[in-house]
Amino acid sequence: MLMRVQRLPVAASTFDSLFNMEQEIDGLFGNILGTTWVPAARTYPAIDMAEYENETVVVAEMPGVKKEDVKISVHDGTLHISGERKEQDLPEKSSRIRNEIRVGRFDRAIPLPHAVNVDQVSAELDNGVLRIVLPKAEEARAREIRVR
Amino acid sequence: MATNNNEVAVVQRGNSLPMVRPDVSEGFVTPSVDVYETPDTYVILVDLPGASKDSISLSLERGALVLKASVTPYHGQNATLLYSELRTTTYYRVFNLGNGIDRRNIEAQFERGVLTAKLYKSAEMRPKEIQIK
Repeated sequence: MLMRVQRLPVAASTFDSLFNMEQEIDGLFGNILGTTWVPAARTYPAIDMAEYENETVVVAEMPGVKKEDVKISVHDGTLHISGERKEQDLPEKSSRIRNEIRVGRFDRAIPLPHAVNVDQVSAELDNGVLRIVLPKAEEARAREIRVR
Repeated sequence: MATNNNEVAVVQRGNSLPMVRPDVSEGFVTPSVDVYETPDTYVILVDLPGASKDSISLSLERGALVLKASVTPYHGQNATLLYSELRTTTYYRVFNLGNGIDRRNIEAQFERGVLTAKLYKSAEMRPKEIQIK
């Protein structure tokens, strides 16, 4: 911050200092939010993975995505979620005023913590939330071992 | 924020920096929004993944359209979370409406986690062809 102030000419225009301030603020948020917001944007969709006794459930948020535009596969101990959020067709003679919703293709690979019974994997997409249930393979289930 | 009468200003309260999701504070999430204008309407699209239709409330408060919705928890009590990137949260966003909007005529629908609200322009704001005599 000091460096920046020194480099600014004394009579820097308001625009310059505003611009610099913006950079400062960007930097600030990069530091604070960097670990949550920026990488999360690169690894779309954001997920939760919850492990239960006999299954693991992956929940992914993907509003505006159609069922037929999502592909899920389990291969080599990795869950792949890929697909596309298509841009909404605007009616004729319309113009965008604000555009925060991101569209486009996504692809995410998630390593699974245990062997999965692939034939039993199920998924549903409801209210913009994808829920994948991955039953544990027999050998991955917890078993009590008797001490003799 | 300066607004013309014919403009839907999308302003969020509780966070002075627009476009930044309040991920780390306030206990609510500011959902992403698209707005587009047609000759007769303004259409607002809001991403509300995980919200149930019943939880969504749209209300007019002092001329602003206030949106709230909540997400039901995704997991059972006995779950061990291995990834936790989602927030079971409340969505909150305020839309400041200009004068050119017919407040009695707002339609909304919710599909695939996206809320679509259609605001009709009041008669005097709609385009009109003027006949030359």
